[in-house]
Amino acid sequence: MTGVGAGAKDTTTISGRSHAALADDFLRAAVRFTTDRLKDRKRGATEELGRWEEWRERGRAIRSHTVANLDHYLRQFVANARAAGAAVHFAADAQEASAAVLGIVQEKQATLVAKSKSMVSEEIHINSRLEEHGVRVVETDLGEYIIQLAHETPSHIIIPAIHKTREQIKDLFTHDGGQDLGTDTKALVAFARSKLRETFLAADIGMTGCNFGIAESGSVVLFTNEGNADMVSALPKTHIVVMGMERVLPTFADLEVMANLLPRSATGQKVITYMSVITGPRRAREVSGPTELHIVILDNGRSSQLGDAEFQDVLNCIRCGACLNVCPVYRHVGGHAYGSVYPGPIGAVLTPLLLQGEEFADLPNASSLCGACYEACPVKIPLHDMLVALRRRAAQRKAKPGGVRVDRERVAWSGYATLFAKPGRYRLVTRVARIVQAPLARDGYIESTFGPLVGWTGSRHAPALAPEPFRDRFSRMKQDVKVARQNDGKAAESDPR
Amino acid sequence: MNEQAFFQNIARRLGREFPADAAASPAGVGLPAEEPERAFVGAPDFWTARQWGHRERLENFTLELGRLGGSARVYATLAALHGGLETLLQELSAPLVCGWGGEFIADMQLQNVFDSFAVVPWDDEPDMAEPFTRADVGVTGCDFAIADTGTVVLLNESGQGRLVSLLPTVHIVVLRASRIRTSMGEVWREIALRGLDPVHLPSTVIFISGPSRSSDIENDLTIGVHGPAAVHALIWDDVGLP
Repeated sequence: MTGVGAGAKDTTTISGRSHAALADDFLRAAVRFTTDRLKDRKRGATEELGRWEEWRERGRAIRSHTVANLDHYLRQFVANARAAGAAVHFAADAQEASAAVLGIVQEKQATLVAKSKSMVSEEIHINSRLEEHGVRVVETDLGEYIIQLAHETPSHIIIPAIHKTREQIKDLFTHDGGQDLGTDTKALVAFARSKLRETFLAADIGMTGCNFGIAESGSVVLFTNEGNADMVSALPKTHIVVMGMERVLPTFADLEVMANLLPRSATGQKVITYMSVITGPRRAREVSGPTELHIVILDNGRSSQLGDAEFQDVLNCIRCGACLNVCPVYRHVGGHAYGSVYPGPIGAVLTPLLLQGEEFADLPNASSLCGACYEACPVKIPLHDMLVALRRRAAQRKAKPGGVRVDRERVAWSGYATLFAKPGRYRLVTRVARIVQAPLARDGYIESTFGPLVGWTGSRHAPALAPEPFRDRFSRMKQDVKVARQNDGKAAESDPR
Repeated sequence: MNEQAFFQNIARRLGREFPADAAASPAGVGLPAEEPERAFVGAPDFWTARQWGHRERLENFTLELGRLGGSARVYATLAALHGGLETLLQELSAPLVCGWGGEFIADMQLQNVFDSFAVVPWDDEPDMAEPFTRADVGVTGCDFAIADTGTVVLLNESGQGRLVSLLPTVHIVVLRASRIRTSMGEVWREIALRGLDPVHLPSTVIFISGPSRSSDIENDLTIGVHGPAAVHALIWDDVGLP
């Protein structure tokens, strides 16, 4: 997060995007308020449950075991889901997944798709793909609905419209057909309820993500507070589930652990309002519910983490967003600055891993490595270690042998090593530096928007070198001490006791 | 992507072989032969070992549902519960009330109450769903309840239509106190006893904890976004132990 001026309007780097976010006072206040609140509520909810560390450890163990045996559990999930009547599709990447969804939508000649909140559907950019083919897609989670009306993307995993004011929301709803709406939450929610109810009833297809897939039964488990996933999965004739391939749990007993960890970590709720466990489409004896259930299982870079000792555990993630709420960087810049579907610490790790290449290679730099994300994570993903490992890999890519690129950092460190290796050189260098810094230093600090240290001094104070070097001061002090001792000795001699 | 290749890739990354012909049949992969070894399954022992008595479960369920913004009333007899339900329906004075049909009505002896309030029962007739989309109140039973979290668990199958608890503005749950379990894990163990195959496990098992809620507008908590705005539990204490 270095550099000012030239980088300020650059939206291709996290540094550039952060500057835009930092200039938005409402955004910063809203993000801070919300994340503080979620964090405090989480603390309350975990203390009430008690033995939180044991729950976390159990959560980690279950997720790690599942991921380490994903070939087994995913196979079991798929076989059982099919036995219950679901159609299962496999997608290697986002392109294949959205093609699979589009294929189903076109086969059904659907014109309206009702969707409940799902990060994985953001990952495959399904909305724009369907809209290109003349299919209307309506987000039904209240927050997602708001940002869809605003033509934006979610800025928080759990609270997508964290950055919108109620005035803005009122304007968006009015534009969408609301009449005489105040800014009162109840009125706004009542409008969304009635408007979206029409959508639920009219939709040809319901589309959801998948919080957990249960291997022992082939069930898809959905968590929502609003009940929109229930509407979406109960009313339209066809239900499409898009799931990341790692979203599996072996048994319902394991689901109990996640049902305790996820809502507490996400919003500080003791329990999610609606947990719906869906196993296949409607049975022959049932008269409601979808007649077809399609499950699209997505890889999209996930399998590349398997077998990689440094990163396999990133697949433990249960998408609670707790790491966002405690991250000092996220709290300042919000979600959009990350420029990726997944923001915050998990996004800074997951995005460059899933989407190899240089576009998001700078995200791991957007961290102070304080480790708060690891402390908050309900399944103990060592995000801070992963951030360091990603930085190391990025540095290794840059420093390939034979590369012509001159790496300023390497030059700086080798210069440092040379100059600081001998006391004489060290003294000479600090003496010169003391003279050079004189015009820049004020009250013991350097603040400068130019010069070789601008990466640091452009946005922070750097401590100036002390006017008198320690070595000089120490030899003077040694002399003082010696004199004082001699004086003490004399004083003792003259004391008769 | 080809199913066999998808699984082979996962297995290879994990340093294993995926059986060459596992996904060769038109039906795709079959069930794997043996389970991986696990040191433990599900929640920690201190959690599953808890033994709550009837009274403790009943009181905790009532308390927790209240904390979620729902309400719970306990009745000593079924007749008293019927009286409570009538009073509640009168207070709500809803134009259209719907309810579970089938065994539920007989089990809780609700025929008279349903008749006097013209409750539309879920009778599994094709194209019967229409009135349920307009109903103001839905009356259901529940297969289990959970004391830990004030949750009711509904297994949606014939007679027990899912829309009854989902679409109306008010959801009334009528249940026996003996259906309350301590934890979610206990409920799953009982459901598993019936069988987790598609014949025994219904297409939907839904866990409802209080009214529908959202904090998506400036963090302001609101009730009744998509699902019911009110959840009332009427509990017949069919155990009655002190």
